[in-house]
Amino acid sequence: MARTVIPFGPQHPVFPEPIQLKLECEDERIVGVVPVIGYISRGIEKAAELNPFRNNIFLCERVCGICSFMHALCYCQGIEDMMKVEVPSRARFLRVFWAELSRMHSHLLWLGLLADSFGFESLFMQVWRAREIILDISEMTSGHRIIQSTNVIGGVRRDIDEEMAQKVEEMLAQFKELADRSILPTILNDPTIKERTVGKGILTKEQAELLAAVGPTLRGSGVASDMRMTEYAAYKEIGFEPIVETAGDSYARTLVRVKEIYQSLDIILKALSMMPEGDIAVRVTGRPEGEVVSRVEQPRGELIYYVKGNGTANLERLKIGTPTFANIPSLLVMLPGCELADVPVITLSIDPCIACCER
Amino acid sequence: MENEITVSKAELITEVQKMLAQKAMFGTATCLDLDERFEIIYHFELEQGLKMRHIRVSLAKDDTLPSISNIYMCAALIENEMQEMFDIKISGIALDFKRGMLLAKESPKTPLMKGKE
Repeated sequence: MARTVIPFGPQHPVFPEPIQLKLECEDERIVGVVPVIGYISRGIEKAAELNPFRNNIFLCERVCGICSFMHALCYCQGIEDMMKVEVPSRARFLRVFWAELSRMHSHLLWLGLLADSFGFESLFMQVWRAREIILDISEMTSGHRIIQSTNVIGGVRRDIDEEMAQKVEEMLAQFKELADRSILPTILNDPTIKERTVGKGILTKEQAELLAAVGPTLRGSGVASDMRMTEYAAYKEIGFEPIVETAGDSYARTLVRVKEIYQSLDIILKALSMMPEGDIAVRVTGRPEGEVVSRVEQPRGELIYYVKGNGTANLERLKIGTPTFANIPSLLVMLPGCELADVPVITLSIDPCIACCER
Repeated sequence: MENEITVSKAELITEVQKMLAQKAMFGTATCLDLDERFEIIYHFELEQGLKMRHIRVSLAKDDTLPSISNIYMCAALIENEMQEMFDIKISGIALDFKRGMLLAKESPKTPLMKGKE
């Protein structure tokens, strides 16, 4: 049968950011795929060498808008590790609070986009309506809906008092009520969603491990790997178990994220209730020297920062390993064999973030 | 760094094959420009990511590094990136973008090399 190459993207309604997939097709069936990136590479790793190391927090926050807090957290943890800084306990709990808030709004953003990709507009609107509550909490506690910018080297720059914590709990209760009523039952029971996702874009456990998938893409294939298991910030005190599904298809990856939204909600409530009194930051003096690898679990998966300091105000090297960069190879086995009409849903199922990927 | 070994270019493929035999997952790789040579650090993950192992290789600037993408296909993207950003020569990349993966034609070439400010 004759083969046709169809350029999918870089501008496509399902992609919030530009990426192209060169799809090799036999009739409507995909037989090969080549990813094409490079539309929004900004040279952030180079810029990080030219900035004073303290200013890099703001740069890292702008690697990606959606997971900006995680980038800053990973960077600050790396510098703190290198400079042997002990972050106050309260700051570690506050970091968990904003990290999980970021995960919730990221997963909700993605879930809305997924619903939109197969034309389920009412679900898209319900999910983004619920997401507004999370963004309101973010704005109330950090002053910004998306880029919270609360990390500093040595802790955080904002605190949450008792009154604000009470308000957060009320808003989370509202969110849970809305999610229980209009989101979860739809995801679990609606035949349209299952028709478009069950059995689509299968990634087996062995493939996921060999292709070094990360995050919900990996956990949806039955691998219990999550950087929060390494107990950074306050995850040791709060406790954490990864959410795993075993089917390896687009529906499994959806379930992992939906369950993680609820898990994040529980973690936030625990963080607020267990948060000790005390300082929110320590003063850090000196300049970083040495090499460290810092890792956190971003909404899309493991984020790796390699940081090398040379004892000056500027870093020698900052290498950023992002989850979408790690998950793109998985598409090379998920897509072949599927129908052309399933490409948008399967591609979205890795929750691609191209700004992160290209830096 | 903890759990780091330094190997020669000739030993690299054997060490990476050992990582595969131990069911290690590939994390990423970092390239460093040390003026007279490159250093490449391959980051691997063991025990579902709880532990890391780093393999460091030193390479003369005019030398060629063998690709590990025939063992870990997922390493092809980062190898392409290293070629493009550092002008490092890597042979046998499973999916070779020929230095056109991230940078546009009019972009500065090899921007992460020292002295490219």
